[in-house]
Formats: sequence, structure tokens, C-alpha cells
Amino acid sequence: MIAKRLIFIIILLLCFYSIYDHIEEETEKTVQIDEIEKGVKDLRPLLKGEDKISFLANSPEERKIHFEAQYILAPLIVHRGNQGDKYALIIENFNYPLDSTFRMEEFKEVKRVEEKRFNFILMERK
Amino acid sequence: MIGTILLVVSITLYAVIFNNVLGARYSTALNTILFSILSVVLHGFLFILSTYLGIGWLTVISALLIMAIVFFIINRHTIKDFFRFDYKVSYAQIVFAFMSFCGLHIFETNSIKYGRWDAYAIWNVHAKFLYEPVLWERLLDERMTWGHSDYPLLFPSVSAMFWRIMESTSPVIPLIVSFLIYLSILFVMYSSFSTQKGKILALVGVGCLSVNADFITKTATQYADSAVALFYLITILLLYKVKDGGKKSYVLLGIFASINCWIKNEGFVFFLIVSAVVFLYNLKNIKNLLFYLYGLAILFLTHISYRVFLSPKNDLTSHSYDKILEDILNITRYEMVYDKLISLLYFEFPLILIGFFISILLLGKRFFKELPLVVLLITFVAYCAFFIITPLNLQWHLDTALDRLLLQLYPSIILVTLTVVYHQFQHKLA
Repeated sequence: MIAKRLIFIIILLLCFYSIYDHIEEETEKTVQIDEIEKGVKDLRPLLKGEDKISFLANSPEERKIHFEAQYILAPLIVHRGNQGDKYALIIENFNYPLDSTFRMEEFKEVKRVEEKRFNFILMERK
Repeated sequence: MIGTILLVVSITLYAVIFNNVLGARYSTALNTILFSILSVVLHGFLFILSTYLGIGWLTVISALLIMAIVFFIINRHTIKDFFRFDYKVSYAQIVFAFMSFCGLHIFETNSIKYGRWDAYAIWNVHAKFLYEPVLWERLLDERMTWGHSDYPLLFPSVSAMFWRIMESTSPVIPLIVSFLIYLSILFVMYSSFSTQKGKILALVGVGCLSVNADFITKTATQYADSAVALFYLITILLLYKVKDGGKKSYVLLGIFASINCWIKNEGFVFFLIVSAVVFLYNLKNIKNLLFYLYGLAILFLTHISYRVFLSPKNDLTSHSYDKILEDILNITRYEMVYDKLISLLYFEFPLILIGFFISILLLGKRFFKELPLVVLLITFVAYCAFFIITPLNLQWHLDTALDRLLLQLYPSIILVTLTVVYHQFQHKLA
């Protein structure tokens, strides 16, 4: 009698395990999000007390990466483009130009983290 | 780890308590799934409330557990009743298990760690804000409106309440939540018919939901639409069951109908439609209406308070009346909605079309007396009408949202079609 319920629970746990196992498979998107998470890990403590940050990425897909950055950096509010915030997070990728709203001379570099696909640079307004 | 175990124990205990207090005259299977879902909703709702009031989540769980223990001491027979199950394994259960695992296999192969676009851009990011006990209010900041921060918080709160207790934002949790939602849809469909012959139809319903790869792929995206589909399905099922469930069934209907408000904005529209239909069909039976109102009161009133005092304005309400009138008179917009709708109904959800066709064929003039069908039909028309006046680019909006709206209605339409068939041929099947 109880065996029936146990079998059901075991099968359900196996299903959970197979899902867990499956999500470890890497897709382009998961690699991207994982790398952003890894990249900003060391930068986060420097942003303690801040509630917003400008986000710039020199990638043709900047708009899309912005959502991933917001997901990783929440509860920090991530502004797309240079919106006059104290800090700016730049994600460097390939050789595309940065958003035209960004003026390098207005900022100084605080920390740089280099990963496989992206470089993460935290800039502070002078 | 201990916190997580306490949370799971609390959810289980409250499922038993709800079964004891609210349990209507339904089958054991239906009561079990309904009250398990209700218990998760209660915990999610209390999580939002405790976060808003700044009360520690572990404190709330501890208080819930103490109250549950007191309840069980007073009502000792409840525990005995809970373990008094019918352990006979029927062929229908074996077939159901087999079908479920087919569906779960398709679910598993289509799952992605962080979900699809809206999962990490909207729903899971809301959960991440809710995970923060103090800073969560930034989610309601006007600067976050691009992330649809006006959406109700119940769906992300389920992931967030586990994250908070685990002190980790593991992406496995939203995935498991989506997995359980899909499993619950199958369970509710299976337990919708209690007679032996009705089980054949229930299995047909489960079959439709466990082999349709389009449907399963969409439930694996970690979007809230599968949760909407689940609560639409439960509400529609309870609309059928109110006749035989006694007075408690109207209370339950009110509770589950009002949960829809807390899942997604279209759930609020669905709730209004259900309430209007329940009122119209029960004008002579004030007692039923009072039980219905009693059931919906807490979740509906808190939702209204949330809308009025906390939630930012929805970006879809920015249209001027002149523009709305202009859109209503624009025939091209109707053609665009029609074209997209027909292509989706043909290629992704043909069963919706077939379901409506069978229902019209079998019911004829009685179609409009079938309360759940009327609700679904009005919801369907409301969805289409909404696209006509959307302030967003219509083609883009249709391409990104219409398939998900059909997904929300899909299980309910299957259930309604099967019920119409069942009632029509009841004398032959029973």
C-alpha cells in the first residue's frame, strides 16, 4: 500500500533529477547569462548602497543583454545607456562601438573583470 | 535546508487543513490537488504580505506550523482521515501515469535553465526583487515599468519564497515551479471526471495535453501563462461542479476565481467575466452569491488595494479615447487579428477550433445555457477585442502574445468539450 506512494514519489524525484540534469546542458543563452553572473560577481560589492546603474554594452544585441544584466543585478535598477548614474557597467564584446551617449572622459575605471566572451568594466563618474 | 523542509511541511499540512475545512463533496483526487494548489497560493500570498510588512519569512512559517499543530491537536481525526486513501490501482491510473511521463519527457527536453525571454526579463526578475526582504520595493519603482512591474506578484512569489528560505536564487526553482504547474494541469484534467466511464474522457483530455508538443514547450518556458491556464481550468471545472458540491463549492469557486487576479492582468478580466456570469445565473439564489462573495473577498480586495496603492500604471492603458475609436473603426486591424488567429488555430491549437465546433454541434441552442462555455467564449472575444485597441504595434503584439493567450484557454476548452460530450452521451456511457 505505502509502496505505491513511495514508487510515485521516487518517480517524481527522478523526473526532478532528469530536469536538473538536463538544464546543465549549455545553450548559447545560458552560457551568456552564466558568464554575466560570473563577471559581475566581483563588481557587486563595490556597488553596495547604490540603487541604480547605467548599463552599456558594445554589442549589436545590447538591448537583449540589458535584460540579462537586469536579471543578474536585481535589486539594482539597470538603466539602458548612459543615464547620468554615478556608476556605469560596461560589457565589452567583440569590436562594436559603445553607445554614443557614453563619454569615456566623464568616467574613471574602478574595476575590470575579463571572462571568455565578455570584459566587464565598472566605471565611476568623475 | 531546514527552512526549506519546514516550508514544504507547512504547505503539506495546510493542504490537509484546507481539505478538512473547505473540502467539498468532490473526489479525493480532486480535493487533494485543489487544496495542495490552494496551500501553495496561501504561502505565496503570505510571503508577499510578510515582505510588504517587513516580517521575517521564517517567522511566518514558524507561526503557520504552530497554528497547524494546534489545529491537528484539536481535530485529531483529520490526520486519520488523510491517511485513509483508496489504494486500489485502476487501469485508468496506469494509463494516466504513462501519459504524464510522456508529457513530462517532452517538458524536460524543452526546458532551458533560465527559461525563455519573458522568464528572465519579467517573471524571474520579479522573483529576484521579491527575494530581497528590504530592497524588493524597487520593483514598483517607475524606472522599472519597462520590466512590466505592474504585473501581479503571486506567480514570482512562489519561486521567491523558496529562494528566500534557501538563501540562494537557484534557477532550478522556477523550473520546478513550471514543472509542477504542468503536472497540476494534467492532474486536474484527470480528476475532473469521477465516474469510471467518465475517466475515459478524462484520459482523452490528459492525452491531448501530454502529446501536444506546442503546448508543452510553451509551459516549459517558465512564463506565467501556464499558471493562468491552470487556474482557468480549475475555475471552469468548479463552475461545472457547483451544482453537486454543496455550499462550500461556491466558496471554493470564489477563492479560485479571485486567484486569477493575482496571476496576470488577463486573469483579472477572466475573473470579472466569471463573476458577472455567476451573478447573472444566480440572481434568484442570493445564498449562492453570498457564498461566492465570501470566497473571493480576501484575494479580490487585496488585489484592488495592490492595484490602487502599490502597482505602477500599466503601459497598455496609455491610449487616448480618440485613438481607441480610430482603432475600432479600422477594418485592417480586424483583418490582421483574424489572419493571425486563424493561422494559430490551424497550426498550433486546432483542438480549440474543433472543441468549439463539437460543442455548438452537440448543444445547438443550449450553447448559451452552458455557463463555462459562455465564460470561455466571452474571454476569447475579450482577448480579440483587446488586440483591436492595443496601443502597441499590432503585428508585433499579435506575434508575441496571441499564442500565449490561446495557451491559457487551451486546457479549459478541452475540458468543456469533453464535459459537453459526456453530458450528451451520459445515458450511453454511465
